[in-house]
Amino acid sequence: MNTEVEELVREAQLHMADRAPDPEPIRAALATGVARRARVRRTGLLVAAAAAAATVVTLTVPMVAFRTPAADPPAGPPPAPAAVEFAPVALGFHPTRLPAGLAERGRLLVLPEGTEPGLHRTWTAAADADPLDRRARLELGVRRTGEPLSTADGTPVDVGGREGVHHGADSKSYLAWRYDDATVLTLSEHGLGLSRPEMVAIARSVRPEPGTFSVPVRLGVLPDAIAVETAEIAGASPRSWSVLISGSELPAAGPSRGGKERAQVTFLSVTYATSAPAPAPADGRPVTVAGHPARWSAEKDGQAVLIVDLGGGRRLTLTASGVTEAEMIRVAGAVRVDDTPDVRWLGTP
Amino acid sequence: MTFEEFTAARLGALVRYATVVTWDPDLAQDITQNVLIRAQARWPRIGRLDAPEQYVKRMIVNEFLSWRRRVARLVPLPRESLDRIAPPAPDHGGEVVRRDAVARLIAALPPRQRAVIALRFYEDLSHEQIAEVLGCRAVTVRTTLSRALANLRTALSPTKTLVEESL
Repeated sequence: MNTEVEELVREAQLHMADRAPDPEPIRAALATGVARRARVRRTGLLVAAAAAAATVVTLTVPMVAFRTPAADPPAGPPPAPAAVEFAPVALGFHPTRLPAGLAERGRLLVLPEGTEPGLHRTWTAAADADPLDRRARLELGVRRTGEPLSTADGTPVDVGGREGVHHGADSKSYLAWRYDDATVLTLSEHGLGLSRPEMVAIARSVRPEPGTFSVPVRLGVLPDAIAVETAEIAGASPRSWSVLISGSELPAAGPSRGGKERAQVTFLSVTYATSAPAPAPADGRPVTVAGHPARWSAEKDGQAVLIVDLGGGRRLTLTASGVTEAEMIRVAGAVRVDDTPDVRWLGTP
Repeated sequence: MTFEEFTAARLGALVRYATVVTWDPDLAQDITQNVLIRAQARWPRIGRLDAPEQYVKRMIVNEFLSWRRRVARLVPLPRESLDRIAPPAPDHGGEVVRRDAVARLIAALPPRQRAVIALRFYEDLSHEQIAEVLGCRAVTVRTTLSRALANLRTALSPTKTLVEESL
């Protein structure tokens, strides 16, 4: 019967492939640099601020997350610089007109290689929004570029006298417009059902916003091969939030040896949550990370998970591929979290 | 080949591939965009690989598996709406009913099994090639594939009977 099942699977897969989304919004996003992910420089290099006017400041707030009984550092030389830390980035812009019920519940730091970093902000209607959940949302992004907007397969729109282009497809739509000679703003909605005029109205309401945003987590250790790409904080309120930092390995420069490429993309993600919503899975091997109980488990596809119980509902989760158990434990043990972060914006319009 | 040339030629195929791997058109769009943004930033290196498309496809599979795992570890994953993934279609005959049934069963497979059957039957990769993509041994691929097919076979048996009875 396997042959028959296989044929059914092939048929179903072809049918599903025909339901693939329109690639044009992706093409437009790539052309205008709309990135939900990007690259962060590592190894002690502070990330440049998103706006030229923003001040680059080293994180100097107390970092408390892992503290073994003897871990309090004695007075003396300052600690070694972190492998990855994030300087504040300018908030940039803010929509002054939002659909009823939406509140800001996520900020994603994106830093494309070789260009200025940016910040993408997310508003959702759900009180328990999670950075990884794809519920209905509105996103505002900033791209520092003077390149012309791609109008392929989009509808030209006027955003307060500025050139823009709107793409709409099923349950999501996307609007990019030139704010000034060096700045393109992007607005995307997923599952909110906003019409083109509604999207344009929101875009017209966008105004500059002073202030900066900082990621309240840094990595003290990172495997040499891995470069951090994004840092995202999201949560329902200032009392309940999480930070997700993701990175992966650059492919080797030049042609691969012997025509063979490395089997898998090496990656590492680090998630810190102030209040884990569910008990940690009981599988895996018990280990200790900086005095905290943890479980490490290898998956059959070569990936591994390390979950550290920090107590009080706080949890650190590392997911990795191509990273050894020892390296994961070392990374986890060197994570530093600002215990007094400014996250008052969570849950506000 | 520049990144623009690559996406001009292969974006449509990549989105279709991601849709089959994820079995979720919305997620496929998000994952493809995320992966291509990363690939764009690294294109000077990826573009020099022997098979850049294969590398990008590996990134898509890894992004999918890691996304699923992160969500599962962080929050209780809400039961997927099978009606959204494979909306019921008017019954024009047993073939449509059976195809929808298969689509729903594939949607219910564990993500790794779903990825393996996508690589095996949509991409027509060998067990060894799938093992390279997933970073595991070929025997593990065979086991995963066998379990996926067994799950489908078991689940399809009563469905098929019902379909046949309704005709």
